[in-house]
Amino acid sequence: MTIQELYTAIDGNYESAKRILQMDRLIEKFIIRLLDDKSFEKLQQARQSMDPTLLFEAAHAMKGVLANLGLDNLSAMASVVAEEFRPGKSRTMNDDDLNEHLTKLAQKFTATVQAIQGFVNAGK
Amino acid sequence: METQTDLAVSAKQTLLVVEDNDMNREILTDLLSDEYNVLQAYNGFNGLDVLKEHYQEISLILLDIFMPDCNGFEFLAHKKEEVLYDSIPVIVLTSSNTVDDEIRCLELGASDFLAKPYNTEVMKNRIRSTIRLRDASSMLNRLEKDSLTGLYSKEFFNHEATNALDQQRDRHFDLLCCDIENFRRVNDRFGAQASDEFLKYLARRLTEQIPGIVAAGRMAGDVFAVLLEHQDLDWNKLVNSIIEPNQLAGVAVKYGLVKQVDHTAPIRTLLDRAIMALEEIKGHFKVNLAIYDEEIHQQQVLKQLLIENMETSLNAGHFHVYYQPKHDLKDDSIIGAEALVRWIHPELGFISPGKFIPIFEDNGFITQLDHYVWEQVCIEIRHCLDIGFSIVPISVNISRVNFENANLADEIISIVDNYKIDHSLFHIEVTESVAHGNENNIIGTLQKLHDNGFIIELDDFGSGYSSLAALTTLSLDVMKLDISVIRKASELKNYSLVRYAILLAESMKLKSIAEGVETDDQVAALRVLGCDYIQGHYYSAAMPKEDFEPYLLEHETSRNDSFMGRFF
Repeated sequence: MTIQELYTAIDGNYESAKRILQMDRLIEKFIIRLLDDKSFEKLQQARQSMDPTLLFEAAHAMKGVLANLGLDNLSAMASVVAEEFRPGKSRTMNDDDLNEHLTKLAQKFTATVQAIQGFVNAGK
Repeated sequence: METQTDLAVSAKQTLLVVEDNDMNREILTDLLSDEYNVLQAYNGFNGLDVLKEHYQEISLILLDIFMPDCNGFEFLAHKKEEVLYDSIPVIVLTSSNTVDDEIRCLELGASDFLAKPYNTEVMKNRIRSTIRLRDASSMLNRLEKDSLTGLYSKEFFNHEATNALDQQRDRHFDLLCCDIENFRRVNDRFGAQASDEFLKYLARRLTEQIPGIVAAGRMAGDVFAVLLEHQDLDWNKLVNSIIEPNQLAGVAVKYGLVKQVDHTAPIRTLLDRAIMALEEIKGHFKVNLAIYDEEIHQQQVLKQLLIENMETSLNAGHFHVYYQPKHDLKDDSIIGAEALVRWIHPELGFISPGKFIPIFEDNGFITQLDHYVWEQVCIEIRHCLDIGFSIVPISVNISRVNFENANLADEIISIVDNYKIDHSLFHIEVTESVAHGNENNIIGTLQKLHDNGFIIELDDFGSGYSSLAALTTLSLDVMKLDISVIRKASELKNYSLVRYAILLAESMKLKSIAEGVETDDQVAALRVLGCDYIQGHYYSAAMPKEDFEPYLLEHETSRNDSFMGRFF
């Protein structure tokens, strides 16, 4: 599996990854690093407490990391959460809609991580 | 090969990346480390620590805004407080794109923004151009500012001050200059580093203590200038608060102030006025401030007038040589005279030598004037010899500046020989201060003159820092006790200093002459103490040659032996 094929599999935007990371070597290095990234874990923890500050920080960080990797759709989903809890802004979603959105985000993220893990395993 | 790598590394500029997310930070580092050395910080506090340690090498900071603990805004606010960090630009990485955040960052001193996710090529170009801009402006800054003190450079101060005076005619400004007294000696005594530290300290204190500063500059090594809005201040109190106690011991800073400066005068003239005021108080212990006033202004006008007139006066014969007789204390006979220059200007009237000699010593005209006097003295001696007067030796003064001329001895010999005058009739007076100058040249010149039969008199002995070394190293024949020594002894009715000076002269086989002798009591005392000769109003004031010739005739009768051999 090539890195481009992986991107197709995980609904990533290879072009934007290339725009940022410039080289396949770096794209590969950092897409694998997503497996160690803690921002998703933090978002899950924040979801338990529903602390708006923690939710914003975690979603904001996740959005940034995903955007850098060219995972634009996933990043946009994180961005929705970050904007919902941006300090000084009032909420626009009800809790049910938010929960549904967070669940979809978790599913998509988990699937992405699994695909990357598969890519890593295949490479070994 | 390793050397090459080192070179390559050291040629790179350094960036600081402040970003809390490990992966984002690592991505930036990876992307930029081909071109730059990248320092990393994981939040604002950590960023400030790295900045503190490396600010001198950091060319640019990439700053994330949303970070836990200390965010980008806080980082910018802290950075703004430290002037040392002023020249380091910050590009803020933002994903929010909200105008409010951007305005806040700009207010806190950020240079630019990059929206996440960034296009790496755009980012690299943005970084390059921001650094280029910074380098260009810091070059300009280097010209504007004195690198040691951070004050304006001389040129930039003049530029700024001129602009302020030109453009704000309705406002009043004061100009203060300060100068460290004997800075070279301070340098010798405390070392260059301590002197530099003191200059930095002085610059800082000036800007801290003086209110309403418009421009402050370092004008020369130890000269500073401050243009400020005119205010009613207790200036004495203010200048005395600038240097705190316990700074470099014994170092005095003198201040010259021009109040409500004339907007139409060039800045250079205004600076001259402030400097002139402070020059007035140099050497005056405890007096630290001089305000340029009408008196100093008049002095400056007079100085200018004297300089404008000196050459025409010399050519027109307005400088006159006067002669003051020297008498032998044993029998009152005249044994010589000192030639003294007088300036009698047709319009300005009689100008005191105390006024013009220091000016001519400063501008070098004294050498021309000295030559003129030597020539006039030779003419007079020749004249007296020709008409059969028994002339006495005439002494002339040689200013310190003349000793810079290596041919001085030959020139004097040539002038005197030109008039076929015996060298022993031409005495030379040098002050002890000449000995502090170019010593070898002075010693050699006097030695040569002495060897050629000229008599050397040490003038003003006891008036300044008397140097016993001068007595032993210079070829001397006569010691002239300064007028102030005689006056002081007479006032205190204590002649012990005079006695020791005469004993010193005797022990060195020098003749002694007391100058400025005016009263019977002084003459009586000097006679008892064994002083050889006297010069002063007691016998006669200095007089023009028209009066001096009859005076010579009158006293000729009292001279019973050869005038030439009288001195020795």
